[in-house]
This record gives sequence, C-alpha cells and structure tokens, in this order.
Amino acid sequence: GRRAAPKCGAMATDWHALGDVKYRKRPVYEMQWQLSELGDYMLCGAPYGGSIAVVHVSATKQTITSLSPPSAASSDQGSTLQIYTSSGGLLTTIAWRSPAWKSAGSPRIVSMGWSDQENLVLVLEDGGVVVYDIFGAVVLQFNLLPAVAGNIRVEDCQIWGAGLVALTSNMNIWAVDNLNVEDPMPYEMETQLNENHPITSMAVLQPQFTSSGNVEVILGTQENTVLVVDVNGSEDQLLHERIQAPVTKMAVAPNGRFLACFTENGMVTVISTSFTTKVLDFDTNTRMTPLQMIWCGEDSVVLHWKRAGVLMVGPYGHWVNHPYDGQALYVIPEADCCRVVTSTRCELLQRVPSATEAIRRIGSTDPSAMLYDAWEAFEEGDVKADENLRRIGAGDDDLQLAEAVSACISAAGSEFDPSMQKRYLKAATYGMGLCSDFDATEFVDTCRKLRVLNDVRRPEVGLPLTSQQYDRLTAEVLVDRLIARHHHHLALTICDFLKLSKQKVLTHWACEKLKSPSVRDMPDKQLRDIIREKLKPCGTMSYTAIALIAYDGGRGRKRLSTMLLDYEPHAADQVKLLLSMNENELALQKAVNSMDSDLVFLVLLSTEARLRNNQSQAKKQEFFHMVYNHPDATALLKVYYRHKLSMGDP
Amino acid sequence: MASLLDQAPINLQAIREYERAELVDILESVDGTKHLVLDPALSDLLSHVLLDPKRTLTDNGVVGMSKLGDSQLSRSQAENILFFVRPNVDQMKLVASNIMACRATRGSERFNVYFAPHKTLVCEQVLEDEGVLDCVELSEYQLNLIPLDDDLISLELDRSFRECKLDGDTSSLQAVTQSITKLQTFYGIIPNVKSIGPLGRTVCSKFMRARVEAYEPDAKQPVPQIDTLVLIDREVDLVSPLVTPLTYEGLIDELIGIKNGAIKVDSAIKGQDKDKSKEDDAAAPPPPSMVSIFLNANDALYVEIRDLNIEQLGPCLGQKAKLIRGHYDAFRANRDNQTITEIHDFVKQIPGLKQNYESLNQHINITEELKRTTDGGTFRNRWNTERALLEGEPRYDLLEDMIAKQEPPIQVLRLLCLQSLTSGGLRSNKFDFLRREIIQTYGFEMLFTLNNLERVGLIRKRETTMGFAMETTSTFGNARKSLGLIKENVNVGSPDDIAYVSSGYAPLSVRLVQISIMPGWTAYTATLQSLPRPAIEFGQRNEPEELPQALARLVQQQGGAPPP
Repeated sequence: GRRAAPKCGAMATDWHALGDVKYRKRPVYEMQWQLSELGDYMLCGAPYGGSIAVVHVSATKQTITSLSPPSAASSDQGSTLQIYTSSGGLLTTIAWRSPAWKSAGSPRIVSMGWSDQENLVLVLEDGGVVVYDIFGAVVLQFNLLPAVAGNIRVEDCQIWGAGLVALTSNMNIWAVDNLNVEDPMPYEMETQLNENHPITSMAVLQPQFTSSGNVEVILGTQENTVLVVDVNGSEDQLLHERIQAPVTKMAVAPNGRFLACFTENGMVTVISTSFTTKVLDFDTNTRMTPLQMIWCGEDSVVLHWKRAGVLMVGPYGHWVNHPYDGQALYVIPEADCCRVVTSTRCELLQRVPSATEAIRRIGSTDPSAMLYDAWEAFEEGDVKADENLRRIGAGDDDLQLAEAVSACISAAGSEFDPSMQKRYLKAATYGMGLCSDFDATEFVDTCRKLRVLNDVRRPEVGLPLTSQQYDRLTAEVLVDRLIARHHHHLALTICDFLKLSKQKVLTHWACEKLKSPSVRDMPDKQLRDIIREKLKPCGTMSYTAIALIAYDGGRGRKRLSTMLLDYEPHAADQVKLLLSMNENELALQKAVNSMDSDLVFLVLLSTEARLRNNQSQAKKQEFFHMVYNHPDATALLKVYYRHKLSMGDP
Repeated sequence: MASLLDQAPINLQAIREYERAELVDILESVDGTKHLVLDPALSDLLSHVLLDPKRTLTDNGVVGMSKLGDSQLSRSQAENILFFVRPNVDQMKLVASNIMACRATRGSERFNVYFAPHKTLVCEQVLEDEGVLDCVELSEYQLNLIPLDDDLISLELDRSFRECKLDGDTSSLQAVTQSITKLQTFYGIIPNVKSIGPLGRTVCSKFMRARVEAYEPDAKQPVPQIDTLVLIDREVDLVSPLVTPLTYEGLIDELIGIKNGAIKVDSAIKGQDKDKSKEDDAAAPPPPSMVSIFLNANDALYVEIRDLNIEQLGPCLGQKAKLIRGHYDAFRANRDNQTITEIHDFVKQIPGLKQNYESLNQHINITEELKRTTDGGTFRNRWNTERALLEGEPRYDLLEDMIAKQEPPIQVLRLLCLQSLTSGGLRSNKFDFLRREIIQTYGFEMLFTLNNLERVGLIRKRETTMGFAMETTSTFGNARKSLGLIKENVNVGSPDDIAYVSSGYAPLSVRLVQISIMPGWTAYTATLQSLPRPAIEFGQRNEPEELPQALARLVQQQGGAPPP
C-alpha cells in the first residue's frame, strides 16, 4: 500500500531521551544566508521565531578602527549589521557606523538584544543605545549614562523584553525599564562593588517574576557568591557553601523560577531564584566557560562551547550531546524550546509533547496510540482497525475515546510537517465519528491555527512558531509581526481568515506605499485612488495616520494629504491635522460640516492666534473673509467676543 | 420626592443609576472633604439623580454646598472645591469670580470644574481669558438625560432655543446628540427616525456621525426597545407654547410654573405638613414659607387628574373626597358590630387612606389656587382671544387695548406673537404702529426684546409690494386645515381628541407625532413641506452610515420598518 509517512516506530527513534523526558531535534530551515563561518560573527535572535541580527566580531572587539587601521575587508564587515529572518533571508543591512551615528570614535558594540516589539536594541561601549526596527530604521536613540559620567564605559548589558540593564566599568548598574517610550528614563542601581571586586557574570530577573515588581539584577562575584541588586540596593545571597567557584555564566529559566549557573570549575548548578533550594549540580568536566548557556523550555539547560556541539542537561543530571560536526552555532532561547542556528541550517530543539509521545512511543498502549493505529489499519483496509478501536474504552462510555481524539488533535497542533498534521487530524476525525457527542471546537480551532502556522512557517516568511508560542503571542501580535515584515497580503488573508480587524494592516500598507520611492512621481489623484480602492472594502476607518505620513511634517505632499483626509470619519482628527498643515480655510469648512461647534471654535481660535503675531493686513482680510463665509462660525465668534468686550479687553 | 420610575415602559432606572454612579465616581475621585458649588440650573436636578441627595453627598465627603456666585464659598472649610456648571459663558464668569475670591481668602489651590452635560472650548477659553485656567481641572459630568417621570426624560436645557436660534450657538445640540447616543446604548438602536426642522436634521446628522465614529463591528448591541424617534425643532411649532393650556398639569405650569418636575408653593398649600412637623420637632425652626412639591407618577391621585380639563377637575376632586369620607364613615357606623379581623383590615388600610387624604388635600389646595385665576374674566377673555387668533381672525384692536391698559408686557407680547404666527406675519402698518406703541408704553428696553423676537421668527412683518400682501395664507393656516388643529366641539369629559387640552386647539407637535405613527408622514408630505424644512425619515441599521447630504426631502429609506 502507499505510505505517506514512515511507520511510527522509525519516528520515535529520532528522539533523545534525557532521563524519562524525550527531546527531539527537528530541522526547520535550510539557511538562505551566505555566512560561511558563524564564529566570526556576533549573533542575536529574537524569540517567537523572530529575526536574527548579525554583526562581525570586529565591531565588538576592543580594537578601534582609528587606532590600528585594519584591512579593508574587516572594516567593511565591522561597519555593517545585518538582520535576517529565521530562515536566513536578508531583511536589511544597517551601516551603523555611518555618519548618521554622530558619536565620535566609533564605540564598540557591547550587547545586542530584541525587545518585545521585535525591535533590535544595540548598546554601545559609551552608553549609547540605538533601537532599530527590523528594517533598520532608527526608532529610538539615547544615552544610558549621564553626561557627567566621564570615563565610565559600559562593560556588559542584558536586554530583556521591555528594558535593559547595563553594567558599567565602575561596577554599577544602569537600568531602563521601558524602551517603548519616546524618552526612556535610565536610573542607577547601587551594587556596592568596585573595580577591585569585578563582577563575573550577570542575569536579569524580569519584573513579572520578582516579588517587589522591580527589575532585579543577579550578579556573580569573585567571592563565589551571588548578589541580587534592585533599585533599593543590593543583597548578598551568601552562596559560598553551595558554590565552589565564581559564577561565570548565568541564565534565568523562562518561568523565572530557576537560575542556572556555570562556575569556574565547570559545574552547572541550578538553583531556585529565591536562592533557597538547589536543584542540580552537574559536572561538565571542562573549565572552559561555554559560549552560551540557555534554557530549553523549562526543564533543561543547553550549553555550547566553540566547535564542541551542544550539551543538553536534564533536571536529574541526565545529559545528551549533539555534536553538530564541530560547526559554529548559535542557540536562541524560546519559551518552550530553543532554536539552533548554524551557517547552513536552523533546527528546533524541543521536548516531545506529551500527546505525541503517548501516540508515538514504541509499544505505547495509550488509547491515543491505539486510535492512531486503528486509523492506519483502516486506511490500509485492514480488518484489525475495528478490533483496535474496540480495545479503547472496552465498551464503556466514550470518555477514553474522546481523550484519544483530543490527544490526536493536540499532536497535530504540535507538528510542523503538514502531511503529519493531516495524519493526526484524520485519525482524530476517525475517532470523532465514533464518539456519541464530541465538541468539535478544539478540532476546528486547531485546524484554523495550523493553517495560519503553516503559512507563516514558509521559508519566505520565516516565522517558525510552535503552537504554544502562537498561543502566547496571540494572533493580533502575529499580524503585527507580519506587517512589520511587509507581508501585508498574508496579514490580510490571516485577518480575513481569523475575522480580525484589517484596519491596522491596511493603514500600515498605505503608509508604506506612500513612503516607497516608486510612487514619488505618481500624480496625487491617482495615488489617492489606489489607496482608497484598497481601503474601501474595510468600511469606515481612520485615515489620519496615512494623511500624516503623506504630509510628513511639511516635507511631503500636502495636497495628497488633504485629499486623503477627506475620507477621515473622525472630524476632530481631520480638523486638527488640517490646522497643523495650516489649511485653515479647509479646516473651518470641515469643522462647520461636522456641526461640532467646539471644532469650529478651535479653528477660529487657533487661526486668530496665528494672526495676532502677523501684522499683514492681507492675512487679516483673509481671516475675516473666511469667517464671513460661514455664518455659523460668525455667530460663535460673536458669542465669544461679546464676553470679551464685557471684560473690557479689546 | 422624585419619580420612582417603577411604572416606566422601559427601564429608566438604569439611566438614573448610571448617572448616579457617575456622580459618585466623580466625588470619589477627589480625596478629602468637598464643597460643591452648583449652578442654579443644576442644583434641583441632583434630586432626580440621587434619590437621597443629602445622604449620598455626605457619604461621599461633601461637607458644604453653595450656589454659583455666592460669596459664602470663601468661608468653606472643605479641602476641595468642586464646581458643577452648565457650559455657558456667563456661568464661567461667575466661576472665575468665585475662584478669585477663594484664592484671595484661602490661598492658592486647585479647583475642579465639572461641566454638565459637556465641556465646550469656548468656556475653556473664557476661563483662560479670566486668568483662572491654570488652577482649575476641567472635566465633564454627562448629565444629559434626566428621567423626570415614568414617561418623561428631559435634558432640562432651558436656554437651548435662545442659544440656537438667537445667538447661533448650537453647542447645546451636542448635548442632544449625546443624549440620543446614550439612549441608544441603553435601549438599542432605534430603528425608525423621523425629524422635522433644520436643527432636527442637524441632530440626525450629528448622531449618525457619532455612531460612525464610535462604530465597533463586534460590539454587542442591546435589543431595540424603542421603535421610533421623532425629532421636532421648536421652530416648527412656535404656536403651541403660546397658547394657554386648560388641563390641570398645564395650568399648574402656566400659573405656578413646573421646574425640574417640581413646583415651589406656599407651605400652606401642602396642608397638614406644617402641623405635623411642629409636633415632631418643636425645637426646629419654622419651615420655610416656600416648599417643593414633586409632581409625578408617585402620586396615584395626580396620575388620575393631571390630564383632566380644569372644568372636570372640581367634580372629580369632590368625588374623591366623598369616597374617602365614605370609607371612614362606613367604618364608624359599624364600629360596634365589627369583628376583630374587620377592624384589623381597616387599620391596615389607614396609612394608604391617610396618604390619599393628604394628597387629595394638597391637590384641592392647588386647584383652589388655580381657580382663583381661571374663574376670572381676564383669563376667559384671554383664551377666547387665543381661540379667535388660532382660527385666523386678526385681533389687532384687542392688542391696542391691552397696550393702552398697560397690561403686563408678557401677556401683550404673547398675543402679539400668536397674532403674527397664525396670520403669517403682522400687517405692515400694524406692525409699525404696535411696535411704536409698545416701546412708548413699556420703555425703550422693549426695543431689544422686539428685535430678538423678530430675529427668531416669533414676530414678522408681512412683506408687501405695492400695498398687496405677498402671501395670503400663513404656514400655520395650512397646517391648521390639513392637520385639523382646531376642533369645534371637544368633549372635555371623556375627550376623544387632544384638542381638549386647550380651548379646542390640538398642539401641532402632538399632531406631528400622531401622524408619524398613523398614517405616517408620507401621507402628509405637502403639509410637512410647508413647515420649516426639512422633514426627513430614515431607518437605522446596526451598521452605521453617515446621513447623506442629499437627504433633504421627505423620503422613506430602505430598511425602515413600517411603524406598528
């Protein structure tokens, strides 16, 4: 008979056991990028299957170009920063040392990180922070350190979802809690350490995990202990007895409850973040500090050394090594797994979901496994199908069968391969047909989710989201991510499919359209019609944001902007923008049309205020003429002036 | 007390509760003790929002209250001062002067100003011009639907007509729009809308626009509980308010004046109350000579008699009195041979009887007060004259007489306006003559009043060319004929037509509402077009759309369900 997928036993052997827990390594993408030697680059990947920022190590080294002129090639490599998708598709190249970056002497990059909005945060040695969007536009730029800081440099920096913490050369901490504002407020945390007692490692405990609700910074010191610093001061956790050597690498688990420490003598120690219980001590038999130590999900730690593959350590000291043929690699932590990126491939290292394990474990007698077997037999026209099915639940109520169906649906949800998804789903429907009453919501939701996931996982899009990550990220944010990658069409299709509002997508599309160089010479009217035609099916939606882009603070196309504003349903927005564009007459017209006397008054008042500083008679005449043409406006102005006159103020 | 709203056809208590909660939220948002400064136009309204105003206010930290502009404010010990005002320029000046005085005596501090029902930019600007904007916090208290009775919700914006028609300041329409929007959030989208007059049209466009702006496709809409919204611009029916009403409630309003659902009368009218309060609390100061009486559906007797023609009122009240007396008498007569249960039953009725008796007494007193005027010859003459004018007979001679007799100017002007409205303007020569007479008799100040009346269209000079009147029929004349506004014989005892509320004149507005339901406005297109335009009709669907500009004529739009 024909076989769409290998028999289950073969699949299960791809799993790696870490004690009782099974892990699987799943290839996701062949990388499209042309980076031959990852070891020469500093990489930084965003969670939720996000983009990867890549910069040549020369930009991060102490050697500054002005001191020793390096070879042309390396200076070229060091002066640009690339952002790739998870599948290695180039999104943008940023010339970060270009004259746009005003700071003198090209400071080196200390740290890179991604914010929750998938913006790239770059922290430089001199305290400069630059936030780029994934296409390299500067979103935010500021300096962490106060102007009086003098020679203090940033030594290390940890960027977390919403903010960052930086360690300065005098062993103090500067933190920013919210990078999502126009004017971030860096503040200092006292560590009570100094240059003579340097810090050996640093980790951040995000505010949602701390009891105080403040960011806490965990610092490893030379005295074999760990300090916890927050805005109120620092506290020594007195770990001398539990840790034999200084901690050189730390990582906080995705749930914030555990801290993994790598000590100088090669021990991996996992301890609760309340520092009360030690969970694990594991000897790696090497004194070399790993390049990376991160969590893979919530119950294993992944370490890797240069050209030594990936070492995975489980909660009870079980371990497994993935050699990766000595290739240079980079591991990106995710909430439920981790991504391993090499110069040629992107792989997912993931705990096998319990439903999949129950179905696919060799010799499994779980009802779900029997249902799956029964379905496979049924597909092949084997009479065993019925027999297998009868063994589930053995005649009593459907409970076991229903559970088996749920397990199949859940297994389909966690699958990346569409043909496997189909097989699990078919098995589920096979079982569902035999349940007396089964709520199909879960099935429908999973199918819908898988369609979306399969679409965004395509290499051209490059978002290898797992089902769990999708649930955490929510569909709305996924749409935002797609918009940010300029996949407007896909975003629209998904909005249609999931019945989400398309307004956001269309607005962004229109703004990008206006910014694109291809429309520069297009007549205003034509461009307006193109935009209107695309946006019309969405019904009433705000055009203010689009008009604002067209106007571009006075540098853009004012006429086009007013044309677009004509479609704005919200009169107040319309009038205010027109006023800011100095289109007083039109603003008054719109205000009068809106029949909102407050708006009319606003126009009159601001136009008049502008006139007061202008001595030109012609301008005044123009104003009077404008008011005169609108009797409603005249009446309103009269009410106001009557009062002013009675005040004795001419 | 204010109406309990328990008999209302739709749940009006929800609105009251919402507005009460909003006020409490405002009070809670300010820490510490509070002194409220109330716009006189708002102070009485609070009792319609808060059933127990004193308690609610003290519970929320209010320690003092004063009228806007009152100087005693500066002596207040409260930590915060909260102003509740109507958004009028004049009120802003009072606010400013109060604040200045306070700053002088209490030192600098911050003040909260709440605009009811909405803030306007003009007011903000005036406060800035007066130099107090920097120390005030401006917010809104959206008190835009006041349920006065089971079947009456009002905005209580008494200056609206003057502002819109005379000053050209239409900001009060904002309140109307907001109130309709609020109605629709409480009781669902109103499927049918009918509107007549220019401001009605404006309001329609405004609230449709507001719906478009606030539209959320997925938001849940309540089930529609209101079938039809009829908007009538006062300009369409200027006649009705000028005509003397003849029902009990109408006359109370005419002669005593109902304000915010209550009247203020001499305490003697309230009857026994006076003695009772003395018994209860001898040490208390004597009650003020003026007391408030709420007129609403709480009073079962009032419900019965409020719409009776004054002619029927006397006999009806007499009957009621006899009935109550009968109850007592029946009891007294059988006193000796009654069982305990019978006595018990009677005793249980006593509170009800007592209340009925008090209410009856009160209404008898009010009726007596009214009769004093209505039985006089002047009153009779007045409504006879009105009737003549309504039928289209000019009574210029009478107006001249009245001016000569120096009768109260308000009466003269009222008839003058009625004359003008019913006959399509005043004859040119009469206009000039009466105008001169009025100014000479009542003083030059009348010049401004007359000008204003002319501006809003209450009086008009009939245009003549070469001595001939341009128009021979008046708008009102048309409507009178086609809508049957005058009924020759009305049966005041068991009325079959609304014309019984006056001397046989059916108010135009009432007729408009009547024909909007049966047989529908379309049947009267010609008449409606002769009234101030436009008359429009449209249906509302769940998905809002802006009212097209072209919708200026009477049209039956798609989607409008036929009226029941």
